[in-house]
Amino acid sequence: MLSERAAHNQNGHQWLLLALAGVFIFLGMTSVSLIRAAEPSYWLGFVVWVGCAAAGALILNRCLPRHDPLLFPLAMFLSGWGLVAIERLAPAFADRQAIWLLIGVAAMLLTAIFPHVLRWLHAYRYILLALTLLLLMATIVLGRNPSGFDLAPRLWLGFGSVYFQSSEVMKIILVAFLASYLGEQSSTLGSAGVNNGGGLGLSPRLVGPTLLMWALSIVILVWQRDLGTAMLFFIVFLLLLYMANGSLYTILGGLALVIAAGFAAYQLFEVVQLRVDIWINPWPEADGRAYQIVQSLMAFGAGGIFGAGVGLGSPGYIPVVHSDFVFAALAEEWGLLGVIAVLCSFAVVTMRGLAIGSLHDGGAFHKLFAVGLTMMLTVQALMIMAGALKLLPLTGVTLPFISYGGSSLLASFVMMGILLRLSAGER
Amino acid sequence: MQFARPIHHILLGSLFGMALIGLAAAYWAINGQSAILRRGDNPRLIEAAARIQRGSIYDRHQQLLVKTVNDASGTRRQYLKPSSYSLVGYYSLRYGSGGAEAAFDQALSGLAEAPGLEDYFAREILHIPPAGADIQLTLDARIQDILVEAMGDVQGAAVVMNAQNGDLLALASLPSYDPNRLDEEWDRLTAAPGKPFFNRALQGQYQPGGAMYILWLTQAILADEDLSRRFKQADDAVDLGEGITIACVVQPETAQLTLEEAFIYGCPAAFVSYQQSAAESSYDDLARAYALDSPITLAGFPIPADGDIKSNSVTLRDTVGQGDLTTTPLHLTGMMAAIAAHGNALLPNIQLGWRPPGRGEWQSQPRIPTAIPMITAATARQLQGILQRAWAVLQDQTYPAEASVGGYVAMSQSGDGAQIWLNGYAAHVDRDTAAFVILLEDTRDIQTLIAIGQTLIDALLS
Repeated sequence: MLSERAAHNQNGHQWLLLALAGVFIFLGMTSVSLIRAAEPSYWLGFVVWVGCAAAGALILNRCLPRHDPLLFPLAMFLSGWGLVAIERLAPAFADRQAIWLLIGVAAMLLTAIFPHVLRWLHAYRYILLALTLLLLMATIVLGRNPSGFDLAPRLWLGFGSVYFQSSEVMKIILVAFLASYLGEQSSTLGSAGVNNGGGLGLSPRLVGPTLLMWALSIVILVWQRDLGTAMLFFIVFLLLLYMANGSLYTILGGLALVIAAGFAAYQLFEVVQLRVDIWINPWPEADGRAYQIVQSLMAFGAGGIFGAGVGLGSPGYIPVVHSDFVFAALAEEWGLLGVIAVLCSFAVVTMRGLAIGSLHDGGAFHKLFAVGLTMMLTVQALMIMAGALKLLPLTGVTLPFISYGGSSLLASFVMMGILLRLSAGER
Repeated sequence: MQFARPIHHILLGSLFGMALIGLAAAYWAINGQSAILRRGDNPRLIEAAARIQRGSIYDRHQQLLVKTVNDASGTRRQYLKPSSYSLVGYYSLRYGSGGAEAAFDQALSGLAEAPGLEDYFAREILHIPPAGADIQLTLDARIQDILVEAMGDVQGAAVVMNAQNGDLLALASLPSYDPNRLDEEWDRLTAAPGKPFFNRALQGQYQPGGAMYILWLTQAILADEDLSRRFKQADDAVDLGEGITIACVVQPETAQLTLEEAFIYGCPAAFVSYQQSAAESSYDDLARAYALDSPITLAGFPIPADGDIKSNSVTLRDTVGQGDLTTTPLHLTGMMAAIAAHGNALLPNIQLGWRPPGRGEWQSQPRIPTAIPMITAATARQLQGILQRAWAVLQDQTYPAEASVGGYVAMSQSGDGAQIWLNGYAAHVDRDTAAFVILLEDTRDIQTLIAIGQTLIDALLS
């Protein structure tokens, strides 16, 4: 636990980091306004960002004086950069994203300062999971796609002009459930001899949830054709299971299931076949089905080391650039230096999140919950960044905090709120 | 500490994944230029080209012909001299480039030289679009204007070359097009029957027809033949079969003509008789002597060469220039330049100099000092005399004593159409000698051809 003096110093560091992020975002917004006729709406996002940063820092310092001083500035830095990128790439969505930022930060603060959130997530895990699964099933039945295309995956529930992706709620509830369940089972799993490099135990306590999660992922994959979310859930589950039992065989066994499911999906689903084919060799179809990934790679090449400059690149050639490929857009206009900045930011988020899990003295649930949320953000970021660089097949998930997407931004900030709560020593 | 070891492994795995992504991004950022960005389907190439401030094109007296304009609609090329359109060509983001714009594309785009540190800093750090060099052509806009105006709306080509150094002073191909309206008119222009994008002066391969009589005249001089010998029925038409009959271009007053007179009037029968009676003649050697079969290098312009002289046995069609050999107006201009310049011809040259972007000083384009000996000086002088007498017969205009002008007309048949040629030279003691070739397609109107020639010669001598 931090002393009051140390906490005071860290809060000072937080203000400094937010100020630096603010300067960066101000310069980005200025660059965007210079390449277009200046209109007040260009600055709405910046005004919202400043308000969120100031209010967030003040409230966190007052209500959670011992919270981690890096996580909130990093989340604001990445989301502010996302605002600049969306203002540049899809200005029609910029105001909407700014509003989602406001909602996201508010949700983060409520989550962070509300005293019963962790307890409720732990105590009512079955009810919450059941409700979320119902929400997911409702999406399968009633799902829509904001683009309106019939063939596009219907992953959203629509309320008028507001759309929400139920899988984003699932991310938090699922991690809470797994942390709670595995936290309770961790001692049993360990005593069964599967931890510390032991053999692969076939305890129902281990095999049961593994198959359940695998089945859930398959359901998401089959009914929603959402390869990214299915992979994300299963990988995070494997990591939490590995954390709980300490056996590398858990990872290997899980990977075997992933490969088996992937092979079957390749044979059965056209969307998976397409993504794998263009991942292996996109060049013959550079003007067709592989246009998106080829343009993404060209964006990295065009950006070079220093980038083309804000507003001076051509990331608009990448379809859905503001959502799935915002990382490639950053690479084109901010260059390799921008890419390294994004990677370093996520690396620090990962390190701080895992440190919260590692150092927390509140029990297995809190540790697993911190690591699970951190991994949800990190694995998602790795999947989309690797996809944009053709290291992995495209998965269609968003880049946390940066990509356009209200429900994604809201979920990311809620996860950040829980991490901040845990960092403050919540038991 | 509980879970410490798995968390440590998870952290290492996550950081390894990020490092891998960083390395992949570095690979594409550094290697992308050669690996992927040069692909033809990269739309960024067009945007990059649009940002380049292409250099301007000037004539030999630094009169502006083409410049880049930045206005509300963006960056565009503005072509200022309609008479030079066919030579300067066009530059379009949609349709590419042609003419001098294509020939000097690398220099005009600023890509001809590897960027120095200063340029690299300006482009990569400050994102200043590259600027291209200015190009100075050998073209004389005044002569070009007069020539194109005199040609009016005919279909044909003309080339004027400085016979002392090979500089091309004028080069016209008609019909032409307005490169300022290229994008709007592309479809119409590509379908136009006159083929305006086809540069007849440089790329048109025609049967030389009567223009080849000068080869036989040259052989007769070299063989020390009696040029006063008269050939009977020299004004007869020559039937080549397949409905092609070649007759005199200008009807002579008598049927008995010397070779010189037959040359002046463009009568084929005398040359057919001469060729049949000559002891030995090599059509190949004559054509090669005038480099009619040789490729010409002209700074980026594609110039076809016949290269199709196969046999030493000269046919009737070969004799009257209707055989296998075809030639471009540029090739024939080179031949006329050799005659006008005492038997030596230089390689044609289109670029006089260049000016780096923003650095003020013009740099001279190094010339290739290649004088090609075609015929002896004595033979050239004798041919000049014949050409002067031919021109005096064809028209009434007289010239001052310090000037000498020669020229002859010829007729040829290419495909379904007939062409008439005026090949000549104009010399003045105060100026460099200029050789010229004017070609009109699908007409037998010699008077129009001679009128164009008179106007051009007046411009060259003034």
